[in-house]
Amino acid sequence: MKKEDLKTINDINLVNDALTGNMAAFEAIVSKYEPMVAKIIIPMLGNSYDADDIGQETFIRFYKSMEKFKGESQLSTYLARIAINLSLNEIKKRTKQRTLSSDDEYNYNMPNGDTDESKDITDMVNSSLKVLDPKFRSVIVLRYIQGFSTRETAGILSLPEGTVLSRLSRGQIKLKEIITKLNRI
Amino acid sequence: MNKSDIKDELSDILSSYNPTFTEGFTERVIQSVGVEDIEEETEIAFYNIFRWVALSGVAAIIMLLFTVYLTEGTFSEDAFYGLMYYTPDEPVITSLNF
Repeated sequence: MKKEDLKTINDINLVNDALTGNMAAFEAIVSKYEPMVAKIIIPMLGNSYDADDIGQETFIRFYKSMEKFKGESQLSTYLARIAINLSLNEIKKRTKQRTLSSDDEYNYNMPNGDTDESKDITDMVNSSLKVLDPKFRSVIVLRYIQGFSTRETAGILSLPEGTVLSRLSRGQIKLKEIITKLNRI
Repeated sequence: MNKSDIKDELSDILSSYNPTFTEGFTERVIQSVGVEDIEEETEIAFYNIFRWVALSGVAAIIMLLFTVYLTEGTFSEDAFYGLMYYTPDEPVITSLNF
């Protein structure tokens, strides 16, 4: 089967093919969902080598637990759950390391205004989100950047919908404040 | 500025937000999965070898116990050392015969 053909197959069939050892099918899954996973992990962790590693880990975890995927939820939701959990774990790990070490490597830096406009929105959003508390960040990322519904976001984060809505409301105000402080809007 | 304005403004900004992983990401994932597969296969192979060695050991011990019981009729320490019919005079008799 050609790679082009694999792109037209639906997710559950791709997963079933991948389960039989068809690496081209798994590769098609990775290619298809790489942008989505990037849009979760990079705003959560910033654009770093860590983000790439966590992205890889997301797909490796999925590969190892693929037989558990029965198609009851969408593959995007399934992968998003793995990606957001790994990102939150990484943030916890960084926080712990930051408190144990005097190294400034993990300190959040407010961006200065010297990047040009084209370079840009991605950098600016990454920098602004870094300042936002992870509990607000995760909701903003899934709901606004990724475009999941409130119900899906609540399911992915294992939170009640009401909590998602209140975090979303407070998170967007905080994010706007951060961006305004940076004179970006 | 009300919440709806904030939401609209953020939506505008975030709609242009398009982060990507570094080039060759998919290939690296496939490569990593291959390495993980090899590691997993090696782990399974070692586990199987260990299991067979352990099972053979257990089988040998059971056979030994069975044989000792059949020949000596007891599981005493002397039976295991083969000293059931040993008497203190035996070395002397053996020396005289020699």
